[in-house]
Amino acid sequence: MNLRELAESHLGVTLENANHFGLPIVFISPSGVTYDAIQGQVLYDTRAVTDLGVEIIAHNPVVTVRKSSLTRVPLASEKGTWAVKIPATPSPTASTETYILGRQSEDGGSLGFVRFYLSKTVQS
Amino acid sequence: MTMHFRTIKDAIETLLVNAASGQYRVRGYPDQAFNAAEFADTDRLVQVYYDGGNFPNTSSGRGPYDHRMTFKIQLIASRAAQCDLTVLNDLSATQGQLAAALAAVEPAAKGVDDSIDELIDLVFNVLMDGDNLHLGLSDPVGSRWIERIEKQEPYARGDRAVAEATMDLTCRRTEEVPTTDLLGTVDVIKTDIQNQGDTAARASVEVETT
Repeated sequence: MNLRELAESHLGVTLENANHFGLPIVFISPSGVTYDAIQGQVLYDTRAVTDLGVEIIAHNPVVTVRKSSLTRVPLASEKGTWAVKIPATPSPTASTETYILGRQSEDGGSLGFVRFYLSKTVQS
Repeated sequence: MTMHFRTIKDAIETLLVNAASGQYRVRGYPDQAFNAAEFADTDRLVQVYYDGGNFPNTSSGRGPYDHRMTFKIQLIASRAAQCDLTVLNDLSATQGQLAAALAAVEPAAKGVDDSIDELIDLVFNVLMDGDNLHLGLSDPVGSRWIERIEKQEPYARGDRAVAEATMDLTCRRTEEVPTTDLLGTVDVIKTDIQNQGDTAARASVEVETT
Protein backbone atom coordinates (compact mmCIF):
# COMPACT_ATOMS: atom_id res chain seq x y z
CA MET A 1 0.00 0.00 0.00
CA ASN A 2 1.53 3.32 -1.01
CA LEU A 3 1.13 6.52 0.91
CA ARG A 4 -1.84 7.77 -1.10
CA GLU A 5 -3.70 4.51 -0.64
CA LEU A 6 -2.88 4.72 3.04
CA ALA A 7 -4.22 8.29 3.23
CA GLU A 8 -7.40 7.20 1.45
CA SER A 9 -7.90 4.33 3.84
CA HIS A 10 -7.59 6.77 6.74
CA LEU A 11 -10.74 8.50 5.46
CA GLY A 12 -12.59 5.50 6.85
CA VAL A 13 -11.62 6.82 10.26
CA THR A 14 -11.45 10.57 9.82
CA LEU A 15 -14.63 10.96 7.77
CA GLU A 16 -16.71 7.86 8.33
CA ASN A 17 -16.17 6.68 11.87
CA ALA A 18 -19.24 7.62 13.91
CA ASN A 19 -17.06 7.84 17.00
CA HIS A 20 -15.02 10.56 15.34
CA PHE A 21 -16.52 12.97 12.79
CA GLY A 22 -18.78 10.57 10.89
CA LEU A 23 -22.43 11.57 10.56
CA PRO A 24 -25.17 9.88 8.51
CA ILE A 25 -25.65 11.52 5.10
CA VAL A 26 -28.42 10.76 2.61
CA PHE A 27 -28.27 11.68 -1.08
CA ILE A 28 -31.34 11.66 -3.32
CA SER A 29 -30.61 11.79 -7.05
CA PRO A 30 -32.67 13.84 -9.55
CA SER A 31 -34.34 10.59 -10.61
CA GLY A 32 -35.46 9.95 -7.04
CA VAL A 33 -32.97 7.22 -6.11
CA THR A 34 -32.01 7.37 -2.44
CA TYR A 35 -28.40 6.69 -1.41
CA ASP A 36 -28.24 6.29 2.34
CA ALA A 37 -25.93 4.44 4.70
CA ILE A 38 -23.26 6.97 3.84
CA GLN A 39 -21.11 8.45 6.56
CA GLY A 40 -19.37 11.79 6.18
CA GLN A 41 -18.13 14.90 7.89
CA VAL A 42 -20.30 18.01 8.15
CA LEU A 43 -19.00 21.50 8.81
CA TYR A 44 -22.04 23.56 9.66
CA ASP A 45 -20.69 27.08 9.77
CA THR A 46 -18.08 28.73 7.64
CA ARG A 47 -16.19 31.97 8.00
CA ALA A 48 -16.67 34.39 5.18
CA VAL A 49 -15.84 37.97 4.28
CA THR A 50 -18.58 40.04 2.69
CA ASP A 51 -18.12 42.42 -0.22
CA LEU A 52 -17.83 45.19 2.34
CA GLY A 53 -14.96 43.47 4.12
CA VAL A 54 -17.04 42.43 7.11
CA GLU A 55 -16.13 39.05 8.51
CA ILE A 56 -19.16 36.92 9.25
CA ILE A 57 -19.92 33.39 10.37
CA ALA A 58 -22.42 32.00 7.91
CA HIS A 59 -24.57 28.90 8.36
CA ASN A 60 -23.40 27.20 5.23
CA PRO A 61 -23.09 23.44 5.64
CA VAL A 62 -20.30 21.66 3.80
CA VAL A 63 -20.32 17.86 3.55
CA THR A 64 -17.20 15.81 2.92
CA VAL A 65 -17.48 12.13 2.08
CA ARG A 66 -15.16 9.35 0.99
CA LYS A 67 -15.47 9.04 -2.77
CA SER A 68 -14.99 5.27 -2.77
CA SER A 69 -18.06 4.92 -0.54
CA LEU A 70 -20.34 6.48 -3.16
CA THR A 71 -21.98 4.32 -5.76
CA ARG A 72 -22.70 7.48 -7.76
CA VAL A 73 -20.98 10.85 -7.31
CA PRO A 74 -23.49 13.72 -7.27
CA LEU A 75 -22.69 16.62 -9.58
CA ALA A 76 -24.30 20.02 -9.20
CA SER A 77 -23.83 20.55 -12.93
CA GLU A 78 -25.89 17.58 -14.05
CA LYS A 79 -29.44 18.01 -15.26
CA GLY A 80 -31.79 18.02 -12.29
CA THR A 81 -31.34 18.67 -8.61
CA TRP A 82 -29.75 16.51 -5.94
CA ALA A 83 -31.13 16.62 -2.39
CA VAL A 84 -28.89 16.00 0.62
CA LYS A 85 -30.09 15.21 4.13
CA ILE A 86 -27.83 15.86 7.09
CA PRO A 87 -28.40 15.87 10.85
CA ALA A 88 -29.58 19.30 12.02
CA THR A 89 -26.91 19.27 14.73
CA PRO A 90 -23.61 17.35 14.91
CA SER A 91 -25.21 14.25 16.40
CA PRO A 92 -25.99 10.99 14.55
CA THR A 93 -29.37 10.82 16.28
CA ALA A 94 -30.46 14.41 15.55
CA SER A 95 -33.41 15.12 13.29
CA THR A 96 -32.46 15.71 9.68
CA GLU A 97 -32.50 18.82 7.53
CA THR A 98 -32.87 18.71 3.76
CA TYR A 99 -30.70 20.79 1.46
CA ILE A 100 -29.96 20.81 -2.25
CA LEU A 101 -26.59 20.85 -3.95
CA GLY A 102 -25.92 24.53 -4.40
CA ARG A 103 -22.79 24.66 -6.50
CA GLN A 104 -20.17 22.45 -8.00
CA SER A 105 -18.60 20.00 -5.61
CA GLU A 106 -14.92 20.04 -4.83
CA ASP A 107 -13.30 16.79 -5.83
CA GLY A 108 -10.39 15.80 -3.63
CA GLY A 109 -9.19 13.68 -6.55
CA SER A 110 -6.12 11.77 -5.54
CA LEU A 111 -6.88 12.22 -1.85
CA GLY A 112 -10.11 10.28 -2.28
CA PHE A 113 -12.73 12.65 -0.89
CA VAL A 114 -15.47 14.84 -2.34
CA ARG A 115 -16.76 18.00 -0.72
CA PHE A 116 -20.31 19.19 -1.30
CA TYR A 117 -21.64 22.71 -0.75
CA LEU A 118 -25.28 22.75 0.27
CA SER A 119 -28.02 25.32 -0.22
CA LYS A 120 -30.92 25.79 2.12
CA THR A 121 -34.39 24.79 1.01
CA VAL A 122 -37.73 25.88 2.38
CA GLN A 123 -41.21 24.52 1.89
CA SER A 124 -42.70 25.81 -1.37
CA MET B 1 -34.63 74.12 14.31
CA THR B 2 -34.93 70.66 12.78
CA MET B 3 -34.21 70.63 9.09
CA HIS B 4 -37.02 69.40 6.91
CA PHE B 5 -35.02 66.60 5.31
CA ARG B 6 -35.09 64.77 8.63
CA THR B 7 -38.86 65.12 8.86
CA ILE B 8 -39.21 63.95 5.28
CA LYS B 9 -37.01 60.91 5.88
CA ASP B 10 -39.21 59.96 8.84
CA ALA B 11 -42.28 60.50 6.66
CA ILE B 12 -40.95 58.17 3.95
CA GLU B 13 -40.21 55.56 6.59
CA THR B 14 -43.72 55.93 8.04
CA LEU B 15 -45.35 55.62 4.61
CA LEU B 16 -43.44 52.45 3.88
CA VAL B 17 -44.14 50.94 7.32
CA ASN B 18 -47.87 51.66 6.99
CA ALA B 19 -48.00 50.00 3.59
CA ALA B 20 -45.81 47.01 4.46
CA SER B 21 -48.55 44.57 5.56
CA GLY B 22 -45.88 42.03 6.44
CA GLN B 23 -44.44 42.02 2.94
CA TYR B 24 -41.20 43.68 3.98
CA ARG B 25 -39.53 45.30 6.97
CA VAL B 26 -38.34 48.90 7.14
CA ARG B 27 -35.24 50.29 8.74
CA GLY B 28 -34.38 53.97 8.88
CA TYR B 29 -30.64 53.69 8.42
CA PRO B 30 -28.18 51.91 6.14
CA ASP B 31 -26.93 48.89 8.06
CA GLN B 32 -24.06 47.43 6.11
CA ALA B 33 -23.46 44.40 8.29
CA PHE B 34 -26.82 42.73 7.80
CA ASN B 35 -27.17 38.99 7.94
CA ALA B 36 -29.31 37.30 5.31
CA ALA B 37 -30.98 35.12 7.93
CA GLU B 38 -31.83 38.23 9.96
CA PHE B 39 -34.72 39.10 7.70
CA ALA B 40 -35.71 35.54 6.97
CA ASP B 41 -39.15 36.14 8.50
CA THR B 42 -40.23 38.42 5.69
CA ASP B 43 -37.31 37.77 3.32
CA ARG B 44 -37.30 41.47 2.44
CA LEU B 45 -35.89 44.62 3.97
CA VAL B 46 -36.16 48.30 3.02
CA GLN B 47 -33.63 50.80 4.35
CA VAL B 48 -34.20 54.53 4.01
CA TYR B 49 -31.59 57.19 4.47
CA TYR B 50 -30.75 60.74 3.44
CA ASP B 51 -28.09 60.61 0.76
CA GLY B 52 -27.41 64.30 0.25
CA GLY B 53 -28.72 67.56 -1.11
CA ASN B 54 -27.80 70.82 -2.71
CA PHE B 55 -28.85 74.41 -2.20
CA PRO B 56 -28.92 76.84 -5.12
CA ASN B 57 -27.00 79.92 -4.06
CA THR B 58 -28.84 83.11 -3.27
CA SER B 59 -27.25 86.48 -3.72
CA SER B 60 -28.43 87.71 -0.36
CA GLY B 61 -26.92 84.84 1.58
CA ARG B 62 -30.13 84.80 3.60
CA GLY B 63 -32.16 82.32 1.71
CA PRO B 64 -34.61 81.04 0.84
CA TYR B 65 -32.76 77.79 1.53
CA ASP B 66 -34.22 75.72 -1.25
CA HIS B 67 -33.09 72.18 -0.40
CA ARG B 68 -33.01 69.73 -3.31
CA MET B 69 -32.56 66.50 -1.45
CA THR B 70 -31.95 62.88 -2.40
CA PHE B 71 -32.94 59.86 -0.33
CA LYS B 72 -31.64 56.38 -0.92
CA ILE B 73 -34.20 53.62 -0.63
CA GLN B 74 -32.20 50.43 -0.39
CA LEU B 75 -34.14 47.24 -1.07
CA ILE B 76 -32.80 43.86 -0.03
CA ALA B 77 -34.36 40.44 -0.55
CA SER B 78 -33.11 37.04 0.46
CA ARG B 79 -34.47 33.69 -0.53
CA ALA B 80 -33.65 30.04 -0.08
CA ALA B 81 -34.42 27.45 -2.70
CA GLN B 82 -37.99 26.20 -2.52
CA CYS B 83 -39.24 22.66 -2.88
CA ASP B 84 -41.79 20.28 -1.45
CA LEU B 85 -39.97 19.22 1.69
CA THR B 86 -42.89 17.14 2.90
CA VAL B 87 -42.18 14.72 0.07
CA LEU B 88 -38.40 14.75 0.46
CA ASN B 89 -38.72 14.18 4.21
CA ASP B 90 -41.26 11.39 3.80
CA LEU B 91 -39.43 8.10 4.27
CA SER B 92 -42.24 6.27 2.49
CA ALA B 93 -42.15 8.50 -0.61
CA THR B 94 -41.69 6.57 -3.83
CA GLN B 95 -38.85 7.14 -6.26
CA GLY B 96 -41.27 8.83 -8.65
CA GLN B 97 -42.56 11.19 -5.96
CA LEU B 98 -39.02 12.13 -4.95
CA ALA B 99 -38.04 12.76 -8.57
CA ALA B 100 -41.13 14.94 -9.10
CA ALA B 101 -40.35 16.97 -5.97
CA LEU B 102 -36.75 17.53 -7.07
CA ALA B 103 -37.83 18.47 -10.59
CA ALA B 104 -40.03 21.20 -9.09
CA VAL B 105 -37.25 22.85 -7.07
CA GLU B 106 -37.14 26.60 -7.59
CA PRO B 107 -33.53 27.76 -7.34
CA ALA B 108 -32.78 30.48 -4.81
CA ALA B 109 -31.36 32.81 -7.47
CA LYS B 110 -34.60 32.74 -9.45
CA GLY B 111 -36.76 33.15 -6.37
CA VAL B 112 -34.77 36.11 -5.08
CA ASP B 113 -34.80 37.83 -8.46
CA ASP B 114 -38.59 37.60 -8.58
CA SER B 115 -38.76 38.75 -4.98
CA ILE B 116 -36.66 41.90 -5.46
CA ASP B 117 -38.64 42.80 -8.59
CA GLU B 118 -41.86 42.54 -6.62
CA LEU B 119 -40.38 44.65 -3.81
CA ILE B 120 -39.38 47.37 -6.29
CA ASP B 121 -42.95 47.30 -7.59
CA LEU B 122 -44.40 47.58 -4.06
CA VAL B 123 -42.19 50.42 -2.89
CA PHE B 124 -42.46 52.41 -6.13
CA ASN B 125 -46.23 52.26 -5.95
CA VAL B 126 -46.24 53.48 -2.35
CA LEU B 127 -43.88 56.40 -2.88
CA MET B 128 -45.26 57.52 -6.24
CA ASP B 129 -48.91 57.10 -5.27
CA GLY B 130 -50.81 60.28 -6.13
CA ASP B 131 -52.11 60.43 -2.56
CA ASN B 132 -48.52 60.53 -1.34
CA LEU B 133 -47.51 63.56 -3.36
CA HIS B 134 -46.35 65.23 -0.16
CA LEU B 135 -45.10 61.97 1.35
CA GLY B 136 -47.84 62.01 3.96
CA LEU B 137 -46.88 65.41 5.38
CA SER B 138 -49.34 68.26 5.88
CA ASP B 139 -46.86 70.81 4.55
CA PRO B 140 -46.13 70.59 0.83
CA VAL B 141 -43.11 68.70 -0.44
CA GLY B 142 -42.05 69.78 -3.90
CA SER B 143 -41.15 67.69 -6.93
CA ARG B 144 -41.30 64.30 -5.21
CA TRP B 145 -39.88 61.90 -7.76
CA ILE B 146 -38.10 58.55 -8.03
CA GLU B 147 -35.33 59.41 -10.44
CA ARG B 148 -33.55 56.12 -10.72
CA ILE B 149 -33.73 52.46 -9.82
CA GLU B 150 -30.56 50.41 -9.86
CA LYS B 151 -30.61 46.66 -9.41
CA GLN B 152 -27.65 44.40 -8.75
CA GLU B 153 -27.13 40.77 -9.64
CA PRO B 154 -28.12 38.24 -6.99
CA TYR B 155 -25.27 36.83 -4.93
CA ALA B 156 -24.89 34.06 -2.36
CA ARG B 157 -24.63 34.88 1.29
CA GLY B 158 -24.48 31.89 3.57
CA ASP B 159 -26.99 29.30 2.44
CA ARG B 160 -29.25 31.87 0.78
CA ALA B 161 -29.29 34.06 -2.29
CA VAL B 162 -29.49 37.82 -1.79
CA ALA B 163 -30.51 40.56 -4.22
CA GLU B 164 -30.29 44.30 -3.77
CA ALA B 165 -31.71 47.35 -5.51
CA THR B 166 -31.52 51.06 -4.81
CA MET B 167 -34.01 53.81 -5.56
CA ASP B 168 -33.10 57.50 -5.66
CA LEU B 169 -35.99 59.57 -4.36
CA THR B 170 -35.60 63.30 -4.86
CA CYS B 171 -37.74 66.18 -3.61
CA ARG B 172 -37.51 69.84 -2.66
CA ARG B 173 -38.35 71.79 0.42
CA THR B 174 -37.33 75.18 1.69
CA GLU B 175 -35.40 74.83 4.89
CA GLU B 176 -35.86 77.28 7.71
CA VAL B 177 -32.98 78.33 9.85
CA PRO B 178 -32.84 80.35 13.04
CA THR B 179 -31.66 83.90 12.48
CA THR B 180 -30.46 86.81 14.49
CA ASP B 181 -31.21 89.15 11.63
CA LEU B 182 -33.02 92.13 13.04
CA LEU B 183 -34.68 93.14 9.86
CA GLY B 184 -37.77 94.35 11.66
CA THR B 185 -35.90 96.45 14.18
CA VAL B 186 -32.78 97.54 12.42
CA ASP B 187 -31.04 100.64 13.56
CA VAL B 188 -31.75 103.35 11.12
CA ILE B 189 -29.30 106.14 10.89
CA LYS B 190 -30.68 109.05 9.07
CA THR B 191 -28.21 111.31 7.56
CA ASP B 192 -28.66 114.33 5.47
CA ILE B 193 -27.24 113.79 2.07
CA GLN B 194 -27.79 116.51 -0.33
CA ASN B 195 -27.69 115.68 -3.93
CA GLN B 196 -26.21 118.37 -5.96
CA GLY B 197 -28.92 120.78 -6.92
CA ASP B 198 -31.55 119.16 -4.79
CA THR B 199 -31.79 120.78 -1.43
CA ALA B 200 -34.92 118.91 -0.41
CA ALA B 201 -33.79 115.33 -1.01
CA ARG B 202 -32.80 113.09 1.81
CA ALA B 203 -31.62 109.54 1.96
CA SER B 204 -31.38 107.13 4.79
CA VAL B 205 -28.86 104.39 5.31
CA GLU B 206 -29.93 101.23 7.06
CA VAL B 207 -27.32 99.45 9.05
CA GLU B 208 -27.94 95.82 9.76
CA THR B 209 -26.76 94.49 13.03
CA THR B 210 -26.04 90.81 13.53
